[in-house]
Amino acid sequence: MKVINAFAKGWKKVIQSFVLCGLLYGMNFLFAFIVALPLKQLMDKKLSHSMEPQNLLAGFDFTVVVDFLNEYGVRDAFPNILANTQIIAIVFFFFSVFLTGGILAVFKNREEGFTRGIFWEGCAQYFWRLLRLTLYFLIIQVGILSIFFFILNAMTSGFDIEAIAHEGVIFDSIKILIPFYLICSGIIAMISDYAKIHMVHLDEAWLFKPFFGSFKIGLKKFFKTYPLFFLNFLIFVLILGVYWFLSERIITDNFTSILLLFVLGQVFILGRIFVKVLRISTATEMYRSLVYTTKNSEIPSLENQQVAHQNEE
Amino acid sequence: MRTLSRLIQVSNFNTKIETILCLLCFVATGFNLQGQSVLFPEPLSSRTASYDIDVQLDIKKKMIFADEKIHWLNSSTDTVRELQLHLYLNAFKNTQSTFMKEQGGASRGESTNKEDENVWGWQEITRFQDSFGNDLLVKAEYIQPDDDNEEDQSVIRIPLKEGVLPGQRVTYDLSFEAKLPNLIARTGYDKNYYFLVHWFPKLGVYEYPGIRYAEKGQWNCHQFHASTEFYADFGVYNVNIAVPKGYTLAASGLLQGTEEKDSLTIHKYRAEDVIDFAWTASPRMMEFHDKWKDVDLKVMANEEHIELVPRFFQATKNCLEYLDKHVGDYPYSNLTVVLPPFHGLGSSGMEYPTLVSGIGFKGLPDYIRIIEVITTHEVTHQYFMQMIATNEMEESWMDEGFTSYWESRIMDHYYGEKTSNIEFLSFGYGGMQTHRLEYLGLSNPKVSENFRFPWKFKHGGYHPLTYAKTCLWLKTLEGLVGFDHMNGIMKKYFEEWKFKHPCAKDFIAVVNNYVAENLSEEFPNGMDWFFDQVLYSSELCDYNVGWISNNKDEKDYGVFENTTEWGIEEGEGPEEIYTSKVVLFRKGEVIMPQEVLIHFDNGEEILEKWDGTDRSFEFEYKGTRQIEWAILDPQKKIYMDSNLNDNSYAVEIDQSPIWKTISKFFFWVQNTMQTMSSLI
Ligand SMILES: [Zn+2]
Repeated sequence: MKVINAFAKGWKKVIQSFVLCGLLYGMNFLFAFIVALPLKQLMDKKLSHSMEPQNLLAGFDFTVVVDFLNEYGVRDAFPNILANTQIIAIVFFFFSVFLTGGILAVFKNREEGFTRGIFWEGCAQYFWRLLRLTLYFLIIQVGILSIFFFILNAMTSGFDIEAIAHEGVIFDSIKILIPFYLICSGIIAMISDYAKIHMVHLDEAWLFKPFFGSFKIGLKKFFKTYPLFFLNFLIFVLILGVYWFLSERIITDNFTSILLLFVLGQVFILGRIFVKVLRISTATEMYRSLVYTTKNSEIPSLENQQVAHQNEE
Repeated sequence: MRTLSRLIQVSNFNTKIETILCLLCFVATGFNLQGQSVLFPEPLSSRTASYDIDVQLDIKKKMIFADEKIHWLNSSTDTVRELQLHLYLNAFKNTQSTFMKEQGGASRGESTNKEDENVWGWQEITRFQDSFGNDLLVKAEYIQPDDDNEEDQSVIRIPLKEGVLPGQRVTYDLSFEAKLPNLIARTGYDKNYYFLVHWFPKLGVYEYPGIRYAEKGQWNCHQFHASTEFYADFGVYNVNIAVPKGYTLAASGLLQGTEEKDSLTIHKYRAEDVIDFAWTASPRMMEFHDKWKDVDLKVMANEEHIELVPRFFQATKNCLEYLDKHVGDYPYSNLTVVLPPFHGLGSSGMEYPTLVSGIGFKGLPDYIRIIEVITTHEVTHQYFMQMIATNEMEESWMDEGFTSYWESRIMDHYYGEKTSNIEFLSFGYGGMQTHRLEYLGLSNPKVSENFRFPWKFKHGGYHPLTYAKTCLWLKTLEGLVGFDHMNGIMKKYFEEWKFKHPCAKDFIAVVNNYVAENLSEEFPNGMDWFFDQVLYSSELCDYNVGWISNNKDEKDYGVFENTTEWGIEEGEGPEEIYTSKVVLFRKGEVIMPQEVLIHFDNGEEILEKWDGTDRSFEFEYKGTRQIEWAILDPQKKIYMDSNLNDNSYAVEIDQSPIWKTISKFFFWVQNTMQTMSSLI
C-alpha cells in the first residue's frame, strides 16, 4: 500500500506544483533555443530561396542535407553548432543540479507547495552538496558500467574474434547483460534519489549520513522503494510509447503538421520533466512514510526526530 | 599435352626451321587447347595464359605446396626473352615490402602480433623449367619495376634460355610453396578458414602495340601495392586442390569431380576464359544453392549466418538480372558468393572470377543493406574487370568506378533512390547519394584527377576519387546522353571489349563512336571535352542560380532631345511591364551544358539552354509576367554538381522545410539536455 500511497501523494504534489514543471520546461526551451538559433539563421541565409529543401517535406533527403553540410557546414559552421550543443548540454547539466536543489526544497516543504522563494533558496542552498552527491553517484554508475564491461569482456574473451566462435557471441552476451545492467543502474539511480532527499531533510554540511543512509533506506525497504521507482519508469515508457505512436502518424508535409509535431514534441519534453519531478516527489513521500514508521536503527535517530517532527501535521 | 611439348622441343632444336615448326606448334597447340574447351563450346577469349595447378593445403603448417604448369601464348610480333611473374604473397613477407611500407606501420593491424611468424606470408618458386628441361631459376631475380625497394619480392623476372617466338605457345613447369599469411588484403587463413586468392605465381600481361598504351612489347607486371589489385590475361585453369577430408570447398570455375586420397580429398576444378582463380576452404562452411536462369548460384556460409543466405541470393539475382538487361550476357554457368565468418572478415568484399566474397553479420537487420550493397558490387565486378579485363593496377577507376556506378544503379533500382543503402524509419539514403557524399565530402575533392595509378595517390583521395567520383561522372554522362543511350554505350563497350584489355582511350572511343552514330546533333564534337574535365582534370563542377529580379519598367526621366517633358507618371498605360531576369553563375572550373527551367507567375514555363561556358549568364524577359522561380538542371543531369541546393531559386517559397528541420533539431537538443539532467 505504501507504494500506491506514495505514488498517489507524489502525483498530487506534482500537480499542485505544476508551475515547477513549467519553470523547468522553460529553462530547457531557453537553452535549446540558444543552440538552435544559429542553425536557423544559417539555414535561412543559405536555403531560404532554394527549392531543394522542399524534398524534405516528403521525407528525408540525404542529398539536401549532405550538400548543405558540405557547402556550408562540414568544415565550418556546423561543427560550431554541434560544439555549442555540447557546451550548452554541459552547462545545462550544472544548471540542472542547481534546479534539482529547488525541486527537493519544494517537496521538503510540502505543506507550502511551490513558492518561488522556497524554490530559488533551495537551488542556492543545496547546489554544492548536490553537485558532490551527484558526482559520487556518477562514479558509482561508471563503476557499475565498468563491472558489466568487464563481464562482457570476459564473456567475449576480450572481444577477441579469434577466441570466440562467431560474432553472435558478442551480441548475445550484450543481450543477456543489458537487463541486468539496467536493473543495477536503476537501483543506484533510485538510491541517489533517496540520498538527495535524505540530504535536504538532514540539511547537514557533511554528506556521509545521506550517502550511506540512502543505501539503507533504498535497500532495506527495497520491495517498497524499487516498485515505486519502477512505476515511475513505466510512466516514462508510457509517455515515450504514446509519443512514438503519435509522431509516427503525423506526416510532416506542411506547416500545420510540422507545428503539430513540434507541439507533440514539446508535450513529450514536458512529460519527461514531469516524470523527473514525479520521481523526486513520490520518493519524498516514500521517504517520509518510511522514516515516520521506522522505529529502529536504519535511519539515524537525529534524523528520525527531525523528519518525524516535520511529519506531525 | 605431352605430345605437344615434344613438338615444341623439337622445333627449338634448330633455329632455322624454328618459325615454321613453331607455326605448326601454334596451330597444333591452339587446336588442342581449344579442343579442351569443355565448358564453352567455343572459347570466349584468346586464352593467352592458362594454368594447370596441383595444390595441397597443409593446415598444420598453414602452407601450400604446388606444381604448376603455365601455358602461354605469345600473341605479339616480338620474340619474348623473359617472363615476369607476380608473387603476390611476398608482399606480406615482412615490413619492408612495398605493400607493407605503403600501408604504414599499422599494416598488420594493432591486434596482430607482428613477432609471430605465423602472421606473415611468402612464396617461393622451388623449380622452374621450360619444356626442354632447362632450369630457368638460375638466372631468375626479383625486380622492382615501380620503385627502388630492393626488399620487395612481389615480382620475379625469369630470363628464358629459348625465346618465345611470335605466335608460339609454350609451357613452363614449376613448383612452388607458400606460407599463407594471417588474412591480409583478402588472402590467407584465419583459424581453419582459408581464403586462397592471388596465391600462385602468375604471369604479368605482355602488352604490345595495339594493347592499351603500349608502344613496344613489354611486360606489364607491377609490384603488389597497398591500393592496387590485379591485371592478367584470360586463360583456362585446371586446378586440383587437395584439402583434408571434411573441408568444404568453393572455387572459381566448375567442379569436375573429387577424389579421395589418404586423408585428403582432391577437388578438381576447371575454369575457362577467366583472368584468375580463387578458392576457399573451411570445415565449418555450408553450401546453399539456388538458380538464376541457367546459372547455378551458390552461397557458402557458416551456421550462424544461415538466416542471411536468402539476402545474398536475392542480391545476386537482382544484380545479374539488371546487368544482363543493360550491359550484356553473363556467360558462365555458375557463381559463388562466400560469406566469411566474423573472424575471417579480412577476406570480405572481394571479386574473383565466378567467386566473390560478401559481408554479413548475425542479426543484421534488413534495413541496413550492407549485404546487398557489397554483394551487388562484387557480382558487378564479374563484368567490370573480370570480363572487361581492365588494368586494375593502373586504371582502377575503370573497374571500381564502373562497378560503383552499376552497384548504385542496381541498388537504387531495386530498393529506392533514397533508401537503397539504409532505410530506417524516416531516415535513409541511396547508392548514388552515398557516392556523392564520399566524393564531395572529401576535405579536398580536388586532391587528384581520376586518371592516376592507384599507388600514386600519395596524399589521399584514392578511394573516393576512384570509386565515387567515377560513379558520379558516369551518372553525369548518363544525364547528358540520356538513360537509354547510356545503356547503349555500355552495351557497345561490353560487346567490343569483353574478354579484352581496354584502357581509358578505348572506352572514350566507344563513347565517341556511339555519340557520333546516335547523338551527333547534340554533341557534334564528340565527348572528349567531357572526359578531359572529369577524368583527366581534378576540377569541380558547381553552378548556381544567383538571383531572380522582376523590375517594373518605369518611364524615362531626365532631359531628352526633342522634348520638354520632365517625366511621365508611373502606371500609365493599360498594364505594368516588368523586366525579369534569372542570373546564373558558374562557380566551378568544369563546364557542362545546362538547362534552366523558368516559371512565371502566369503559370508559363520555359526551358532554356545555356552552354555553361561563361562565368555568369542571364536570361531576360520583358512583359507583364514575373518570374517566380528558376531551376538550373531540373532533371539533375549534372549529378556531379557539387551543390544541388543552390541550383534553384524561388522569389518566395514555403519555409516549412526549414522549420521542419529546425524543429527536429530543436527537439533533439531538448532531449539531449533532458537526458543530461536525468543523470542527476
Ligand atoms: Zn570493387
